[in-house]
Amino acid sequence: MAAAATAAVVAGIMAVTTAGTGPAAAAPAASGSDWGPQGSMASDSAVTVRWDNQGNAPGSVVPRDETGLLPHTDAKSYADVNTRLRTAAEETFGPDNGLGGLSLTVSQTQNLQNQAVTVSFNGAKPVTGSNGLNSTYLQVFQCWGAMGEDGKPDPKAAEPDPATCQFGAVGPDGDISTSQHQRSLRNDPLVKGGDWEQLAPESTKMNLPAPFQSIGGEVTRIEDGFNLSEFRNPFFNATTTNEHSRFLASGQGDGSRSFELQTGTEASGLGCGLDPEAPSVETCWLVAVPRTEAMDEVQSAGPLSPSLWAMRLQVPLHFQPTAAVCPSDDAATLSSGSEALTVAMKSWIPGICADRKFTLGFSPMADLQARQQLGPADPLKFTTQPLEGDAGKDVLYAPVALSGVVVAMTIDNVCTTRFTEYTLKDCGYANEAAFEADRERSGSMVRNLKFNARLLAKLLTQSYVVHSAPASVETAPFTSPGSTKYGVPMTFSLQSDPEFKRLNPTGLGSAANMAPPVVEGLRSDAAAAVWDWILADDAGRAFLNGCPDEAGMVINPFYSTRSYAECPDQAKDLDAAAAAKIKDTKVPSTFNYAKANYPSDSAAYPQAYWTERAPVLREDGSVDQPALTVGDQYARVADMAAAALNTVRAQPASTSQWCAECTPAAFKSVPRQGYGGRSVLSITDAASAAKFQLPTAQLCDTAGTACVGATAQSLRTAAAGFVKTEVAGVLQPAAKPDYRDGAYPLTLPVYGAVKTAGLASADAKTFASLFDYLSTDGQEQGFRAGMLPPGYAPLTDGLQASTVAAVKSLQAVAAAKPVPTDKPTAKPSAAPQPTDTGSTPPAGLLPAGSGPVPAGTGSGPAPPAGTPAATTAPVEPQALPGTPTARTSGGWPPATLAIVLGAALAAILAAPLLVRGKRR
Amino acid sequence: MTRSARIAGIVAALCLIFAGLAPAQAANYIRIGGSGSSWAGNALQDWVSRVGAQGVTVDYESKGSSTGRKEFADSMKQFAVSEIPYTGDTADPKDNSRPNFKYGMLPVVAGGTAYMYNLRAGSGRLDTLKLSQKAIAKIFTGQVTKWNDKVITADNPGVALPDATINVVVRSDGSGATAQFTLWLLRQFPSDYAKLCQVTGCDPNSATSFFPTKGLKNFVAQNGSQGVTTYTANNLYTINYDEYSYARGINFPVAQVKNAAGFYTLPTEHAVAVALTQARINQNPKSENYLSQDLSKVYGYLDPRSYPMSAYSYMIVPTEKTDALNEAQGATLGYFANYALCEGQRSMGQLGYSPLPMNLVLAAMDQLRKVPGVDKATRAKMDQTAASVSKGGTPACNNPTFKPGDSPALNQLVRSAPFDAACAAACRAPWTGEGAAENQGPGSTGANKGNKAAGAKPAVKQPTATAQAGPAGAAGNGGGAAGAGQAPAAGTVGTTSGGTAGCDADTGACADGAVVAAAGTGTQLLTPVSTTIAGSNGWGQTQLLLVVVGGLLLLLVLAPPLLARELEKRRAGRRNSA
Repeated sequence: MAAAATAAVVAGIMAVTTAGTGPAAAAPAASGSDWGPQGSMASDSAVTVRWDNQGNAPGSVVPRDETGLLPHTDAKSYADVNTRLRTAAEETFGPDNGLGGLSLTVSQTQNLQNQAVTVSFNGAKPVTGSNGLNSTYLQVFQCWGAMGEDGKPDPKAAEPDPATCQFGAVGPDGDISTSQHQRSLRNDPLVKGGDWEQLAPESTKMNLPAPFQSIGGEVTRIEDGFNLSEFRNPFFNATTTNEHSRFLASGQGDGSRSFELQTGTEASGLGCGLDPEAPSVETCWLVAVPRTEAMDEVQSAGPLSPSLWAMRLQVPLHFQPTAAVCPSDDAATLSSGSEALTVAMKSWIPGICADRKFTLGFSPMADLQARQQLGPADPLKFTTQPLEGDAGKDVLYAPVALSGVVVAMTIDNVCTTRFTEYTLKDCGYANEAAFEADRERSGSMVRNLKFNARLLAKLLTQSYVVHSAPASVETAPFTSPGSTKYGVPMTFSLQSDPEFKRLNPTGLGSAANMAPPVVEGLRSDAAAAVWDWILADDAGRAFLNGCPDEAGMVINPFYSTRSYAECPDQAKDLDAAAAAKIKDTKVPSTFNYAKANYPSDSAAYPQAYWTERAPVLREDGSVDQPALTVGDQYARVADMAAAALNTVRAQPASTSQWCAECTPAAFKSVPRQGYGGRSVLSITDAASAAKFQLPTAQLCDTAGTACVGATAQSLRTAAAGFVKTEVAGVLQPAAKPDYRDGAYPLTLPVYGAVKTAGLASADAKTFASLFDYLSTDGQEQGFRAGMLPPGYAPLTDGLQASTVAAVKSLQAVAAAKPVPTDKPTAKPSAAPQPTDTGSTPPAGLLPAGSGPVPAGTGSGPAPPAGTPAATTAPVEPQALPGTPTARTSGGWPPATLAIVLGAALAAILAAPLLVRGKRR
Repeated sequence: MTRSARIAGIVAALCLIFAGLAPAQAANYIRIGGSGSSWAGNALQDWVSRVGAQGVTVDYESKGSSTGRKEFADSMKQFAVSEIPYTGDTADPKDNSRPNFKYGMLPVVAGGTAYMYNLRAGSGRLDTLKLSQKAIAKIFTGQVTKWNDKVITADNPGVALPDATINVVVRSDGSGATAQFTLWLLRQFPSDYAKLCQVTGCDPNSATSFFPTKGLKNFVAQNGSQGVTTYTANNLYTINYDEYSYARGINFPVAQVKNAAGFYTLPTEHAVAVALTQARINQNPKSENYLSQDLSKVYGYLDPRSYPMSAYSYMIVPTEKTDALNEAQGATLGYFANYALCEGQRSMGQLGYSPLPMNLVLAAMDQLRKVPGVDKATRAKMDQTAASVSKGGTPACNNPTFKPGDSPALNQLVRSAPFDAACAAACRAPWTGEGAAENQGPGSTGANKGNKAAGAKPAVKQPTATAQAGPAGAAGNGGGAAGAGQAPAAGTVGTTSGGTAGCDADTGACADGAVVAAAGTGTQLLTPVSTTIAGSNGWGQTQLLLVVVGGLLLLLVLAPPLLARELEKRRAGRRNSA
């Protein structure tokens, strides 16, 4: 385990030192282990390429002269590109542009899978556009390569063919009506004479689109438009594409974004990652075409048009082979539970299939629901908290993962784009050097927020003026900015909160009106852990109980417990103020006030519907727009994975945009935020955040003196401090996390919970194998299928020992009850079976206790009254009377079957060898 | 059992085994997307996540059935999911989009529309609420506005219901759940529906996908299943309607609904399965609504275990190449839908749905075959499923509704559905054994014996005296852990006490056969229950096993020499030709 931690540190160092080197040959030892609050992950295969090709590896050289032949142009080259265009490009991106020239870095280029990488650049000279702002931008997209002479993908292609690029469906930063964001070849003279022109010889101005050629050779070309965002392109569309249409440079000529790499699974038109079953390639390409408004005026086509293609930067991307998957018609061993495992399961399931030869099925659901279902019929669940009371008897717990709950963010920090006379004041930097240092480190996204429990409590309880929507000053006078009518004025926003500023002196940039975090509706143990943390924190708990912070800020009264337990001296005055605020608020007619309770027994993140925006009425008094409720304004998303998705897409969870054109007119989701003005916070799991390389907040103690971000190390430190519970084998986070020691407070252990009473030996054997895998191979950090993906920490030695013990117990259960091979060992002694034909299933196949039962015809003789079920099911002493209607395993006694089958297979395989042997 | 059947069994079993051992099929399944029903959204999410682990990417958005059908008609998505068809009596004039290509419907999951509510009892949550269908109609048409109204208290003797206004939560977006709910109102309580329409201005002769709330002060409309669920969880005195899985996901109680037999039931997988034996399935394969459901006989079904507000949800797929679907996409759609229909059904009960009966699985697979591009591998899997059902003996998709050897229309969940303890032998008799209802639709024998008892007038039939008496009234539902504790199945109480509790309180006799409590999986169990499991008859697992083992031994003996000889021959041939 220490090795893993060391590797993480090493990888971190490598990130700094390897920029500019070519692709490394060896696979990184623990790639993906260095996930953390910064969001970005380092690797030892980062590659930097320069526009002037200096130091570029051969695969990334794009000649800027007559040797740079351009595909589909009848052998024209860079030298044939319009002079004005070339001059503009060279002045902006060439080595003499005053910034040293454009260079672009991809954070990882080896062993790639479906993941995010960081694409960053610098040295792109800012060119002011017609709107007075910088107009220098990059278009970044993924291409699969080139078709060989034989009509098959050419594994040795020296450069990508623009026809193989996934572009033109319009990315989240694109505009469907802009030709630059399409596959348009508009007016590009270089197309003349090339094969693309032949596709539409009647088009006089080359006003035509570039086709898309998929890895399988299919060619898609929209005849009557230029973009492939439409349904008619089967390979990618606006929902699935990973292209960036307009990656704008900062005022310093740089930028950094996370880019989703897609394998053949996500983008079957690209087929990146060798798959023996399908057309595919090991090497795909990341292509970046740099542009400015001045260049667009010369050539307004999309980046695939030859004149602009000539300006590109290209980086080969080496993908892992796609993982083998189990045949999907195999009956899966079903399990369900903790959504914190969703990301890990996607990696583990193919790994388990390959290594342990069975299909695991996993359905994420609320931990609570999973715990309620655990029983002989449903013996395998995953949960953070143990089962309570009688339901917890005969349950075996095996730790399988260390996860974390995080506050993830996508926040563009305009404070860091340019140093002005206002920067120090607005952003809180001590001096220009501090600003420069921050800018260097964080690029254009906020990556270093700190929260304590009370700040999170404030965000979750609509306690800032800007979060009191849809209330208005008229309906809720206490939300009036600056009003002293109810005592200390309500704090306007997170940024204006002195507590926040103390922790985050550099502020939040443009994100002044950031909404409360996007949170899930599912009642998960992860959500419970958030509230446990807030309630275990003295300041957090006091705030929820109505006590003011140091600056006098109090909770929105509709979210207050009004117990004032931590400030009894002020209780009377505070409660009078809260009562007055409530009394003066015009609440919706359907609202029923009740004091809040924490933790809530109603919702994962309780929401008070204390205000609404009144319906908009027509002249005749009928309703034009219905009331806008708190739930519309701050909607819940399904689960933590959805919260992370909202964050990476900068999609606020708000259904508050009135759509009058809709049939019928209705409130619809607000649009995504544009790059440069993004500000979305969410509460999600560390793995979902790491999947998108989202920055996450550091969590601080009450005093704000020690802050810890979620990393593999901080999760493990927290796990070392886990405390025992009343349930054997189950540890839970300490109430007071050791911040100073670097323990991340929201660390979640996830346990496999097995109901051992009535457990069939075949199931016991499968589960033993499962936990054995999860405690060994499944804890190796990395991107490959079967490994522990970023966002989790390997189990500590103590937890792992606990899993090993569980494996042994299960193996004992499996061994104690051998599977009968032919006849049932237990014959029913009572209850005549009118339809029995001797076909009673072997006991091992059915959950013990169900036993053979007679056909319920009602016509057969009834057994004596009160016959204990046990007499008909003498299989298991501790058997439960529960009888499932379906088994989770396939319904075969695997041991017998496996032996015989194995023998048969061995025989078949041996046959050719025998022949061979004979020949020699 | 005839000899030929045995041989067929061997062949089928061996085929299956080797199909299972074959490597993963050529699986470069292209990414596809669909949208629609949020009622079925949790089921779709489960399937999407599970095929994701198999390396197949499918996107699904729970945008509501109306949006789903529109996006499908507009060729924006490869499939839609909806509770209602494009045409027919559930169609809403506001939903005016129609595909201009041929399409088909296939049922993918069953479920119950649950009435989640938020009431307090002392410091805890009230979780024993019982509602008659009449009360539901009155509440959701705005005629009963207080929780302590007689219509509600009549079903909840001894429960202190508050003198508070009922906060009725409905969907604001176009929803199949709303369409099915208003159709139920229209059919079962037409005068109440007329009153609703009188106030709100809706059409009293037509169901609607958009719940009318105009002028109803105690109604609030929220967006999507997530919206109504969140609103209800956070607001006291609320009640909503949506699929059971949403209440399950946040551990909230739902109303026990009084069925036509006078018993209070929850939308468990069993109760839904029982009810849907009465769903009339459109059996005209030429109709564009082939396999669509008519629930009018479901509402008033007299089986004491029936949950009256049960329904199927459907996937709508193109049956010809369209702008949105080429053959490669059709191949993925075939893979995904087959997965959902087969392996995907097994987890449905856990999530709060009810698995499809086997006859509808088979009919749906036949529909799926019409999708252009469904590949050989998927067709082979569907063939195997069909063969395993007709030949008997092999685990056809391990579908919990199906017992090898039985008719696919016989639903095991119906046979094993627990009875309320207050339903004694005579009360149970019509519904068990020979009387057990079978599913309708393709594959049904047509001799739906359950129907004979279902003839009585639906809905208006008022409760029998027995339902109020006995343990049913007192048991309450724990809404989770507590409920599970009460159920003998989920607790660890001895088998003897479990058995006794399941027997009739008056006579002390158990109705039939051995007493086995139902597997309570943490749902709100009403009462200690007893049920019977059909014994194994026909082609059982042991026989099958023996045959398979025998077959394998045979293979073990015969295969190596045969294969060796064959290979030798080929090598010889190659040598000769070379």
